[in-house]
Amino acid sequence: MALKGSNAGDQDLPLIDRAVEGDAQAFEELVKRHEARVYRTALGILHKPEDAEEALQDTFLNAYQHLREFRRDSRFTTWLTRIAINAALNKLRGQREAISLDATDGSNQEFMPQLCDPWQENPEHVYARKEIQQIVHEAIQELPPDYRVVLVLRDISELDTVQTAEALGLTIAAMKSRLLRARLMVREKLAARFGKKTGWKSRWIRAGWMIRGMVAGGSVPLPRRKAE
Amino acid sequence: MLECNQVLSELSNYLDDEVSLELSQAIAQHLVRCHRCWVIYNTTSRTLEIVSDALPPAPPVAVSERLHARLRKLYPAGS
Ligand SMILES: [Zn+2]
Repeated sequence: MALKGSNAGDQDLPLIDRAVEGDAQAFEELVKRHEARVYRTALGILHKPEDAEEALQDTFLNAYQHLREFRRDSRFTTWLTRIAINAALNKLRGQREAISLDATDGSNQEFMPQLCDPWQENPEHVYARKEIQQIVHEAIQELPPDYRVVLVLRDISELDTVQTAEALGLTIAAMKSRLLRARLMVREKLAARFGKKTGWKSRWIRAGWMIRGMVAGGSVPLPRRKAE
Repeated sequence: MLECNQVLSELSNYLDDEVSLELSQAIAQHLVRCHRCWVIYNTTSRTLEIVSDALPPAPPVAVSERLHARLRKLYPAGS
């Protein structure tokens, strides 16, 4: 598939036309439609709410000033996301060393899961929701920025595959292999918290699972469907 | 029969339902027989659920209000 995204049916186009003509109300409407997604993107990348707020403001200020430059060969969401990523990364750069999104394209290096014990019942039953959110947020922050961004766009901001690849300027294949690695890395970090300790007890449980699997035949859960 | 590393390399696509029906069935069969892959599949799937639930769905009201207030200063007078 060609990477060029289609903006056919982009619901934002009429508003963009009006905003470019100087209709502030139309721009306000665009902000309302997109601020939640932009905020989640910024917060996912940056962690601190005050940094995310600055990135949120920078994104829309920038979008307002450059709206005329929006070339309609991609969706507005994708264009805006690109601005949001830059705003967030600028904040990161202010905090740490220079960051390049293609510095570590070790995607062809396989990431091998190490912790392969089942998890305790639902982490939700063991930890408070706030606590889980904290653990997850920390796990995401520990990812190298290029992996963090792809995971945030796809799994937090819920862009689709094509939009995520476009926003990052990657081919779909490159985006997907980076995403797989990012997901496995986060899983690994969570497994360290939620995984059962290996011992005789978990071996019994494991044996139970295997027997159940063999008996049940097709009892494997269906793939998670993305709501779209 | 798929190898474990083939299952692993398609795991993301499988979770996102972006594999062919044929491949999807082959992976499901593998997961029934291979405990290690099943655990990785199961815990990755749960990871994604937890991740998507980890951030607030929208900015706090005050954050949103400050954003709109700041933008209003940019708009041309009279609009
Ligand atoms: Zn396997």
